[in-house]
Amino acid sequence: MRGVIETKQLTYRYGRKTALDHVNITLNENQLIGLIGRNGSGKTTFLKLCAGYYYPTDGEITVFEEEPFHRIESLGEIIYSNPNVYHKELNTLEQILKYFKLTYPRFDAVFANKLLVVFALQPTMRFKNLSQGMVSVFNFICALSTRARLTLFDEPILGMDVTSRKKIYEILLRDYIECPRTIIVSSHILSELEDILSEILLIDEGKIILYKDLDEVRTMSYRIDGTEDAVKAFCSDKTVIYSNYNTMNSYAVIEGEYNDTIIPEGEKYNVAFSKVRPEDYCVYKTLRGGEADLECLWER
Amino acid sequence: MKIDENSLTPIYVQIADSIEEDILNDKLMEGNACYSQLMIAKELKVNPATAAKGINLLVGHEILEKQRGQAMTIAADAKSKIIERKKKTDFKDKIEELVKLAKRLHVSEEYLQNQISKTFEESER
Repeated sequence: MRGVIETKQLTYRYGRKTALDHVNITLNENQLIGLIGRNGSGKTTFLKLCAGYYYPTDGEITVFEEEPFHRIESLGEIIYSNPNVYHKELNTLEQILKYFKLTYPRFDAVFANKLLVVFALQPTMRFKNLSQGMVSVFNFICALSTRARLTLFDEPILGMDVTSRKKIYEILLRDYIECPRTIIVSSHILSELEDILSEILLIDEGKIILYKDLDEVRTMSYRIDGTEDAVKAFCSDKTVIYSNYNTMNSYAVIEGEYNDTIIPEGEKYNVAFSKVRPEDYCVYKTLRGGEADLECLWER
Repeated sequence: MKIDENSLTPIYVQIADSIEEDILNDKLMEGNACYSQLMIAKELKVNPATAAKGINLLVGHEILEKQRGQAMTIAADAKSKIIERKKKTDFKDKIEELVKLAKRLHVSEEYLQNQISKTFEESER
């Protein structure tokens, strides 16, 4: 598989704050990648560096083997979209679509207009009169219709209702199947996205924690429930990434593959197995010390 | 089929299982084409890479055969292969489960065997 985005020691600072910290990563071509991370973890900075909006403070980044910051002639191949893109001088949706048509060589205006119909948006509507959810939908439509070889969606579903979100995910997957290209979607809601993704990129405090095939992530950990003694005994020779001991139920999340050899062991200690969804896995991997214990909030 | 997102069985294994189920039920016939990767992805709303893993699992088990181009064909002896493998896996697991339950409930081997014979007779009526 070819690399689309390659970084070497990529670093970006806003004044004293380091947003990206010596990142080395090669992202595969034609994948539908979920960019996951907590607030302020560096997701937007990473996407803006990919799109050439920023120049690295240190290190380097190449997209399609060129520095995105310097390749004005082929910016039509990269689109960065976020729900707050503000279209100043252009009034109606129609006018904005025309602008996209001029800028992006692969822009499919027919497809964009069909999408407007699906989401009950009229081309004559004024952009400034749209609600946040509608702005998000419209910006998603514009970016998807560019069919750019590298499509970057930053929090595309912000403010959207659940019906629109589900439609967006379905359209995104189907369009990716019809027109394979590299798409990165950043989101806080991985649980809604995970089925359609092929890979996941987990970022925390400016560092890449994980870049993996999602089917692999799905089998990287599992959870066991049982009494405190049973859970502790079962975990004694395993890597525990999270545990919680209570009187009524104790559980632990274990890093490792759930497979047939573990089942008899579970029976021996009388613990029940269950699945850890990729979203929860990411939560456990990015928990900071002390954060898991909220009891201290109400201590007197 | 429906994907069970909460199951410990990986999604691509669930896809492979459901294709096998369709072969056993004659919904897919031996020698005919199987569902394509893109059709699975579109209909189940999963990533094509996940669909491909499900198909490749069955190619590995020689249930599906790669033909020229993209099409996958159901092997001529797919059904018997699935049955043979399921006897060793699913079927054996269920029996072990049953025996364990019998032991927990202090049910004798003889009682268990009688119950099985009885259930067999009832289902054939």
